[in-house]
Amino acid sequence: MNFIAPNVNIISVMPEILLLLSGTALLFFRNCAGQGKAIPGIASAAIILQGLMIPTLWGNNIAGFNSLIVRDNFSILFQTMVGATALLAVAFSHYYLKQRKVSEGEYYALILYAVVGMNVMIAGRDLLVIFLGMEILSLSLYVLVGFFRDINESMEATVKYFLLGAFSSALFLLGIAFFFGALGATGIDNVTTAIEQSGFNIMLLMMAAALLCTGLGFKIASVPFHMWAPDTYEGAPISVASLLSVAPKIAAFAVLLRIVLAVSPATSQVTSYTIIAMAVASMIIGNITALRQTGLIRMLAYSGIAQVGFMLIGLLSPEQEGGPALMFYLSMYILMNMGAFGVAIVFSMVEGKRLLINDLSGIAAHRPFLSLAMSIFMISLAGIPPTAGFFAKFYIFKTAIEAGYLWIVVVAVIMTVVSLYYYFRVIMVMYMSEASDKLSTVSGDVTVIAVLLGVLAFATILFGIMPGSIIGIISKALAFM
Amino acid sequence: MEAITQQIIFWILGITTITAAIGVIAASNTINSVMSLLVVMLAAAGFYMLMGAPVVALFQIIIYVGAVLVLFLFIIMLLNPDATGLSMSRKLSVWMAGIVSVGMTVVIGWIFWQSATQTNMQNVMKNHVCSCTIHDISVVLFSRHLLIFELTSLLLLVAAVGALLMTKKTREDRS
Amino acid sequence: MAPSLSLFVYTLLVVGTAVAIILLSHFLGKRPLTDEKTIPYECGMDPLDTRKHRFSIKYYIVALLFVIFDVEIVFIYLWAISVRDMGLFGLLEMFIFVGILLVAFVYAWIKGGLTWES
Repeated sequence: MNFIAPNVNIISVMPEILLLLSGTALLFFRNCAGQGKAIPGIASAAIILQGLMIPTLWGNNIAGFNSLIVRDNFSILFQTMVGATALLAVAFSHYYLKQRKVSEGEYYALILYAVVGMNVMIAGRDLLVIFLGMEILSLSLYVLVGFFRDINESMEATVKYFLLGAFSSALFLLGIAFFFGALGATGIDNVTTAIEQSGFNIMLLMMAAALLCTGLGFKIASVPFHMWAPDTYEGAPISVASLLSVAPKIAAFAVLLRIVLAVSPATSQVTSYTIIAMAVASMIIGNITALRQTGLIRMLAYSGIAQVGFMLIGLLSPEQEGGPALMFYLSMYILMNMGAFGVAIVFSMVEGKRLLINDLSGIAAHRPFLSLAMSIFMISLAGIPPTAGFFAKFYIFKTAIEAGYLWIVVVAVIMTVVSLYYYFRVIMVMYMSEASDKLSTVSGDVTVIAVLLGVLAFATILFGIMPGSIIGIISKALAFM
Repeated sequence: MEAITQQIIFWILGITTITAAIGVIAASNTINSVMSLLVVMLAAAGFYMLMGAPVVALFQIIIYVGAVLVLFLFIIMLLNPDATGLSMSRKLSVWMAGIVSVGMTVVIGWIFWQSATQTNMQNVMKNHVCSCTIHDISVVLFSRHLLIFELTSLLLLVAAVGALLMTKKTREDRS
Repeated sequence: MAPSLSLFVYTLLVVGTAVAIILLSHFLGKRPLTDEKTIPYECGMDPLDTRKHRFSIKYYIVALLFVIFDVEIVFIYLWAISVRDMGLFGLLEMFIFVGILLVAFVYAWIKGGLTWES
């Protein structure tokens, strides 16, 4: 066999190279001589810069490394979403770390590496590339969750997350092995050609699809692979929890969408049964368990599990409207969930104990602006008009009905009604309860985070009133499908 | 003749693997468990050789036997677990784990059986045929799968940084 | 299949020799055994222990770093086989790979992962 130099096309990975270089620079920054102040600035500059680079590739379908990585419009949109989430997480982290009087270059470096991993996952066209991206992401997150080793809960959270995450990675890898056994290749696009020539093994492919869904199910924290989520979110630094609750889900949903799109023509029934089971179980267990939570972060964790259940419905008709509806839901989920976590970060600065929902009682009198923002995010998560969350749910339900899954929509609507209770309890506690002075002294400089939360709340309302613009962009991105 | 020698090697390796695997879970001393695991991994390398995959066998020996088992040994020496306390302390979870692993084995075995008897397996195998010398694999890795190779280095970088962050004392601890 | 067969015979010979030496010394050795005879080394520390004491975490950091660079060695081994065919491009590939891992090495150095004290 002779060596033929691959078609590298270095432009296709420029954003990742930028992130890698700046992350590496941050590793060696020390918190002395005023360098510490520049660290979050450099991190956010790197993310913004790569975020500006990515849209310039729009519409060109730039392929690199012999098409192992393809930057189509689909991946550009998902990567922009990941970049926006990471930027918000960096801003939250800046606030959180300043309260703890630390500024570690490694912390931000790991966030940048995680973004590289997610970008690779989204743009990768080969399961091995996707797996490596997933591992880069996971390893960074394991360390970030346990970054502050003086917090015992944090260490417990990271051990739980690491063990279950490693287990799910092993399942994903086994799925790749079955995939290779079924097709003789690991490229996702190989499925389509194999189906045309019927040169594949249906049993092995079904097993592969099930295992790949399982591995990704851990990453998106859907039932029955959700056990790690509440403990990990609660134990992790809240700034990390905010990243953890949104960004990996975006990347994993991008991969799921690609895999389901490729595999479902061959194994239609098995894949959709798996997804239906995961979606229904996530909606029911997530919402019911969230009712009983007293901790704010735990409640948000279970609400996240429930939201994933709603999103999974979009995967039932991926080649029709399900894909765009899922992407719209994900982009609105960034706004409302990152917003809710941002408010939680500001409120949680009472050191040494976890934040209970009842701690928020009467906070509206002291902090009217934050309470209003939190109310908007809660209303949006519950899916009440005129917020973005309503249209997100509306589009998902519409696609499911068009695809003939009426009973799932009925379950989803019932569960939405159930979810009203715990989302509105937060608002009730904030506005209707007796004021307790516990959180009245929110310390520190909150200008940056306040502006961000304001923008998020405004966007949540704005896209609730006029969702059409986002939908237009998304439909254009998915035109190739 | 060659088929018979292969059969003989296969059965010797198979018996070795199963005996050593039982040793891994049955040994009361954890160090002995790790040593049995070593035999299992060496036997697995033998299977890879038998299947005509010398590169995989090589990696198995260099990485698993050479490095990963060392980590296992270090962990056991670090934690120094009490051998009597560990063995079969939680009856229910042991049974659950047993049932799940047996079930998994049955399912995978059934799928392999089904797929082996299906006719279109030949169709698939047609695409697989390759000469798997070390040189060929090296050429494929550095040309068609170059991105995977480079991403591995990034993964190793993150792993090294993470390992140091989690184990090394922070500057605040030291001062 | 011939190389794999010879390898297997070789393995059998190695294991057989090792077992044979132990058995031979067991059966041919003079009895009774005194305490002096049973220890592996005539002088120096006793290498046998009941692992009563715990090891320091420092050993583990070294082992972790070893695993990471061990994987690097595997790739370099594969690369060395076909480096002549690949020319300058192959050299560049490996430079990038080693360069990224060099960052890990320098980081470990600065962080004190290679020093024993602290």
